[in-house]
Amino acid sequence: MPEPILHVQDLKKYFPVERSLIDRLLGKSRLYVKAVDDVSFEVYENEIFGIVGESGCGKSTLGRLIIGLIRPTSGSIIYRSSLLKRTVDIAKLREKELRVLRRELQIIFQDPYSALNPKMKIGDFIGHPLEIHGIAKGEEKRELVMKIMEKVGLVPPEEYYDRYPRELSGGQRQRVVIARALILNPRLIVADEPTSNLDVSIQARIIALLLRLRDEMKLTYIFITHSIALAQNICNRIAVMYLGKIVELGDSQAIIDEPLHPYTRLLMSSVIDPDTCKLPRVREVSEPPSPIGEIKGCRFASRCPEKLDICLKEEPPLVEVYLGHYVRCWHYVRR
Amino acid sequence: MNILEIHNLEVVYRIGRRNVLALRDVTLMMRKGEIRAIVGESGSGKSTLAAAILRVLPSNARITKGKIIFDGIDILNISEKEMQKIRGSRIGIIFQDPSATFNPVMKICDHIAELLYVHKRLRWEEGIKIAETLAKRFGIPSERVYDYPHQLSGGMKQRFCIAMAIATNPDLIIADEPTTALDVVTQMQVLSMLRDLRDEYGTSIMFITHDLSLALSISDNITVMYSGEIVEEASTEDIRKEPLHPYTQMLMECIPRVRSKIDFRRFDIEKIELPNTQGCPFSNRCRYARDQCLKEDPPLIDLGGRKVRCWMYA
Repeated sequence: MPEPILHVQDLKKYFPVERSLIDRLLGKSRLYVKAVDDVSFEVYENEIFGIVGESGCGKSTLGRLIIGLIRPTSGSIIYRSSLLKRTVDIAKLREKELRVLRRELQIIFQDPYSALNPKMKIGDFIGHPLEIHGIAKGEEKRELVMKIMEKVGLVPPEEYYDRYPRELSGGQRQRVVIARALILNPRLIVADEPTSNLDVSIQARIIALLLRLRDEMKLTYIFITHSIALAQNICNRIAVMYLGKIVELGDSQAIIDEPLHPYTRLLMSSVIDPDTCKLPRVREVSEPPSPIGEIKGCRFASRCPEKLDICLKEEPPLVEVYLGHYVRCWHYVRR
Repeated sequence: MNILEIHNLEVVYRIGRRNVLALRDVTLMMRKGEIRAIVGESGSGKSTLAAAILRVLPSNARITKGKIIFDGIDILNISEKEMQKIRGSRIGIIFQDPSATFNPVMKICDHIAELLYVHKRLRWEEGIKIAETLAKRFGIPSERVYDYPHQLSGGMKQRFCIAMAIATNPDLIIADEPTTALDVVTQMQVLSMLRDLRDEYGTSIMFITHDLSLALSISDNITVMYSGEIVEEASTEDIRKEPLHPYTQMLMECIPRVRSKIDFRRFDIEKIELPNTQGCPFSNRCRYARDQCLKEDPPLIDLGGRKVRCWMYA
């Protein structure tokens, strides 16, 4: 087994909810949205680790925590840095050290339209991190930018360098975003829904690009997506999140072959199979519970077709059912 | 009987000093009770088409050619006042973002009551009663109609949008990416609701989406658009079995499936993605492109029962 490059342990991020003046005068206690609640996992060098879940499950918060864009409430994010030549806890790092680490940790966002600066030529935009980190400027910068543009398929680079974002299509913009993320030669990239705004034919090309770059630049990806079908297609391992917690974690293939958690099965059954052309019948209509405040028992219980009495009372632990295949469900707890 | 007929529609946007063709020669017939999916990527003109039918194009857009006939009415040649009677009443609209549909300081029931007052002259209390019945129909407890939009989840808001769109019993519903902002599970619920609506009331639905798999699961017929043109039009069954246009074929291949894996690496070809200005707009991404494709845009070829815009079938 290779060494993990990243080890997330008991990570929590609680966002306080604004109380109204009346609530405050009445002395009601502060409520929290538990966006990420006690999440632990490891990411190995050169793998693609998928985080799958619906909007609001905390997957994007988790991505931002990992690269230090936001600070956790508690828990640790142990990262083996090659630049600092030691193991650091991103959760406890000072801003100054974090800035150095940003060279190794990068993020790609979903919307390539708002990620780009409309007033900046795309060549300058891609090369900006080089100046910020004092690595290169002027002619040297231009050369490095050209090289990376070629890598991401913005060819010929001379033709793209002086263009503005508005002249580019969605797929090309996402290539620009990827080029900027790669210019500092990072090791770990958090890709937060990088293809959700694109049509499937462009999505396929961006995914192809990311796969090639992983080999060429020895990258590790944390791939955040709402599409379990896409995750199963490209990830080595997958974590399924529901309301702030990991409910299932395992090898992609293991989850395809035998999804354990009822929520994972629900997600898989709502994927449309274009070969049969049938509208999947999703029977349940109930909504997920509010993420604010305490949830009693299993957080999926209100929507679960297989719930037991205990599910409403007590939160199930994460248990290892097969080697490396974990699930948080009472059905798999030996009692 | 056609509920909607679009003949040779052309829409031009004025951007700076340039004119940009958003729709080129779009001809489309929709039967009563049909669910028609319009599939295309962003910028393909599918939303412009919806805006043109509703006559709500942005101020820099102009319809330069063509006719739109809705239930026998030439809607490009009627006054704005007459159009207002059709819009929201005989043609219902569902937008992508449900939160942008509602006025944040108005209760849900008042939205529906207002709509019914304006179009059907119903008294406010009656409107609210109808709002309650509609809520129940869509699986929402009826007391939730007294909530403000921010108190509802995204899925509930979108269900209320559908409720609002059908409150006046329209003949045609235009749904522009109605499920894009929703979770996969809620998405399936909303789709089945639209389908039930057609099955029960015979409402015609124009379902606009960038997701071919959604189109395949809900529609009777599919129109594929690329760069402002219709490139393929066929029954959903035909598209599923045998997509003809190279773009449609590409879309079919790229849909992620649960149990079979796509070899993404073969899509890593480095070509420019912007549409050609000359010739077939898809030719720069097409694996079958020939010299002719680069020079001349193919016509929409009628193959009897289905249409395709590609030189391979000429």
